[in-house]
Amino acid sequence: MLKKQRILESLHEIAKTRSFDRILVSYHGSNTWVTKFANQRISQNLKEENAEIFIKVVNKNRVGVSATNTLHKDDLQKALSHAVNISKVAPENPALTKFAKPALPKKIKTYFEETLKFSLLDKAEMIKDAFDRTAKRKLTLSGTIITNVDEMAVVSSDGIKTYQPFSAMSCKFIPTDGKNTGFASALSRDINKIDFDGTLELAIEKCLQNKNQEDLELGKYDCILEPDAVAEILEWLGYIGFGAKRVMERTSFLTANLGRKIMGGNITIYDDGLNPDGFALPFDYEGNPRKKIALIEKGVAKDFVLDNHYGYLYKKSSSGHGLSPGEIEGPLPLNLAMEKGDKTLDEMKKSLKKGILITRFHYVNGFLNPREALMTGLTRDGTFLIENGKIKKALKNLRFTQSILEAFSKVVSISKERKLVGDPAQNIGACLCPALFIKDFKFTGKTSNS
Amino acid sequence: MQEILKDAIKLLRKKGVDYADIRKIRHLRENVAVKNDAAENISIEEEHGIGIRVLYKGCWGFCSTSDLIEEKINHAALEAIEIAKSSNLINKQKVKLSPAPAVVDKFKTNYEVDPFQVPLDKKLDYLFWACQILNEHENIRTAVGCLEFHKIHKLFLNTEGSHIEQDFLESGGYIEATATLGDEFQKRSYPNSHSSQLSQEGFEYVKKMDFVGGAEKIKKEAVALLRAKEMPKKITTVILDSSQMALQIHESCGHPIELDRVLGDELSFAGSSFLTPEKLGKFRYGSKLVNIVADATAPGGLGTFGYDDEGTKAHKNQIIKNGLFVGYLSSRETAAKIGHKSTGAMRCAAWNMTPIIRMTNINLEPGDATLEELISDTKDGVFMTTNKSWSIDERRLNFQFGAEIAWEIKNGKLGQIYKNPVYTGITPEFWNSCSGIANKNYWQMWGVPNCAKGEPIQVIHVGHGSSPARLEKVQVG
Repeated sequence: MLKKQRILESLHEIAKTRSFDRILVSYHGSNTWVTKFANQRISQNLKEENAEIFIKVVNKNRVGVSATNTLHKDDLQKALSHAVNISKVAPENPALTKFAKPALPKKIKTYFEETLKFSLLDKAEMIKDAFDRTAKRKLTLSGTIITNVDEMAVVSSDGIKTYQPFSAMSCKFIPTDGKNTGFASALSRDINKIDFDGTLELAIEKCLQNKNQEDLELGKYDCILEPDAVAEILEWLGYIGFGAKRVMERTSFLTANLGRKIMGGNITIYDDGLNPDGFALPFDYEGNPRKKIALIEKGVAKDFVLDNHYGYLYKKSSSGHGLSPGEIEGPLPLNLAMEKGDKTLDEMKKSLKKGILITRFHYVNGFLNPREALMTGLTRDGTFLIENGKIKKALKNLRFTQSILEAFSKVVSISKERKLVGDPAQNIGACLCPALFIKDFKFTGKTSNS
Repeated sequence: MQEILKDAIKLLRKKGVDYADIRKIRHLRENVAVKNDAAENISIEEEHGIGIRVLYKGCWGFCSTSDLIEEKINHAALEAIEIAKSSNLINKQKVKLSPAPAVVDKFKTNYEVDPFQVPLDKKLDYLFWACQILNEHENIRTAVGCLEFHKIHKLFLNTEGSHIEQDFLESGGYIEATATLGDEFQKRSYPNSHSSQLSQEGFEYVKKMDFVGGAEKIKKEAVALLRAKEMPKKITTVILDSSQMALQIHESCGHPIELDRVLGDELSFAGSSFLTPEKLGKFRYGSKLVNIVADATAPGGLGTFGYDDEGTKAHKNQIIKNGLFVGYLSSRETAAKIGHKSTGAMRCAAWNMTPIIRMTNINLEPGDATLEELISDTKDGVFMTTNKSWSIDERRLNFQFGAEIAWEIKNGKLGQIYKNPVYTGITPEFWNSCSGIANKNYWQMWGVPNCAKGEPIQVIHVGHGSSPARLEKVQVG
């Protein structure tokens, strides 16, 4: 199934062309199988093929970029011709001309054959079993099971030649009684690390607890964010603040704060594309090996991620966080992780005298005031009032509006368990997140489930 | 190629499918982006391939390939059947499609100037000119200008005999100024925020956008916002400009009328909807002034086409009539479930994606006031323009939107500006408080190029036409 040889040969064929100064060719291809179910039936069952081959050509200080989606010679030649033509007339911009130097990325196993052996029939049988189990509890089930294979390669006229295959599998279960829902999910590159039964059982338990939802007076509450909720916030922090472009444009919460304490001393956030327990990505789309970057260390704003372009502007080397040549978002962290704590999630719940347990968030938005990391969003699929360490009742979904810098300065405890959260059909990276016990989280709105 | 695809349809018929369709799509796009005095990205991207969807013994299967040779296409067709067969192990209820006629037809975007034939230096000159104006003020730290163009060819065939060719052209762009002062930064965008305003037109649309005039305006506003007050928290009258109304329509009307999410099929990601079937024809969604249509025939809209991606002819359907909820966006499958015909809203975002229910152009019909009358009629309120942030719950009831800039309204006149304005509400309460909609002279079609839905996520281009509108008793600040 993997096409290593064909990919590298095709990319090399283009990269050896010499009608310009330098060239970089990046490949990211994937095959994704998504089985989506709802109302006790498979509602969508598909295989999606995709590939993006970017060609970046440098002529003196002029750059041209093009892309195609196949390795066919004619398509690649046409794309090359687009890039060359652009590079002849584009204005000079030396900041865009920097290429990675050849370097060997760290060897990490990211492809597990067994994950891709999980067939359509295996999926159907698993879903049938899940339907039976939810039906016994008088629930119906929605969700997805996704298997995915990605291949990335970068070849350049400067001598870069890298290739890496990736496998991934995820399951997501949302049981419902027709009115209320539960949620649980699992993600891994290795199918053997996914506990389907445990994940389903957790989702069912959540749904059964999520009945007779009541309103809660708005205001500040201590709360426990489970890892899926933390992941959504971390992803937004990565997008609005941890990339060099946002810092340089002075819109990031890191701007003017590097070296200063902006979160609690118990918060350490980093990006680590080399962690085999994460969703490892040994190199970026420019062929640079990824470095582990401490972004927040014991609450102190420490660093941000770089690609070749912003490395040039900051007079530093790339940290290996470059996106495809056609992107203008600048470098982004794709493997965010928060350092784990020393409590179990159960211990954290027991230590909560009165507060809210949040399963996950929906539609978080971090554009309100990025310098303060002010975000808003809603709870979803299980929001519970805890009193004296026990779930007292289910709550209707709540809207929070909260500065995350402030919230992450009030973290009482962090779970020792961490969960990998991501969507393998959408992103090649994922977040590694613990649960957080946060004091005085602001809830500013509520909604009705009826 | 057409013969190969016809043969693939024959093969699928021979294999006994209930129904099948094939979409061959080629998409060419050009992006030109400049920042301050440098070109940040100039690129041309092209992709093509085939998506095959089959309904086999009442179950769907979908497969795609970018290998446009007979053997690979036939292989993808047979793989789609195998995928459908695996669903057959479980599904007791078989999919039924609402009837649709076989169609042989063509559709093409009307345009004057092909943007792909316009020299690059002309595009760059235009963007650098706008950025130069933005950069004239010392507080403007970042000036950005972008243009983007899309040319899409779609060929559709199905086992019912339809053969439809469509050619689309989209053009647009935006400029953005980021002003900074100490710890403060403020952004203003023109003509819209979030990376583009597109229209189904040629390069002539770029000229209409008038980046140069827009640059003068947003430069001043971005700088003024640096010293502006935060909007006070209060319940007041709000007038939203048409671009913010576009997103309000998108999130609080466009998404909840998607019949797949109404019927629970999108519960695992996008969520559900408060507009459940028993409300159809009975539920008072808004005040009597509110008339909303799904119009896939509107000129220039990004949701305009001849036929949707399962071959249903473009319609104009009433969604909200004098405030009453009367219509959904549907497919042949979902329409059959409620005993209706498809409203023609099945769209796929790319060749390798299966069609799902998407917005077309969801438009608020104009009222009869002028914007000046709406403002002069308001004793105490705020006027907000250009979206900055958006959030809404999974049933599409509780929303919160932020705008780039707001003006105080005092005794019928615009006053001081406010930074970081936000308003929040509950969808039906909000629309029922609509007390005025500006007339057709203020009505504008907005192209939203980043509507995300589906698993895997499909980002599609949709349209929203609206005039500015006035809403009462809205929580702001």
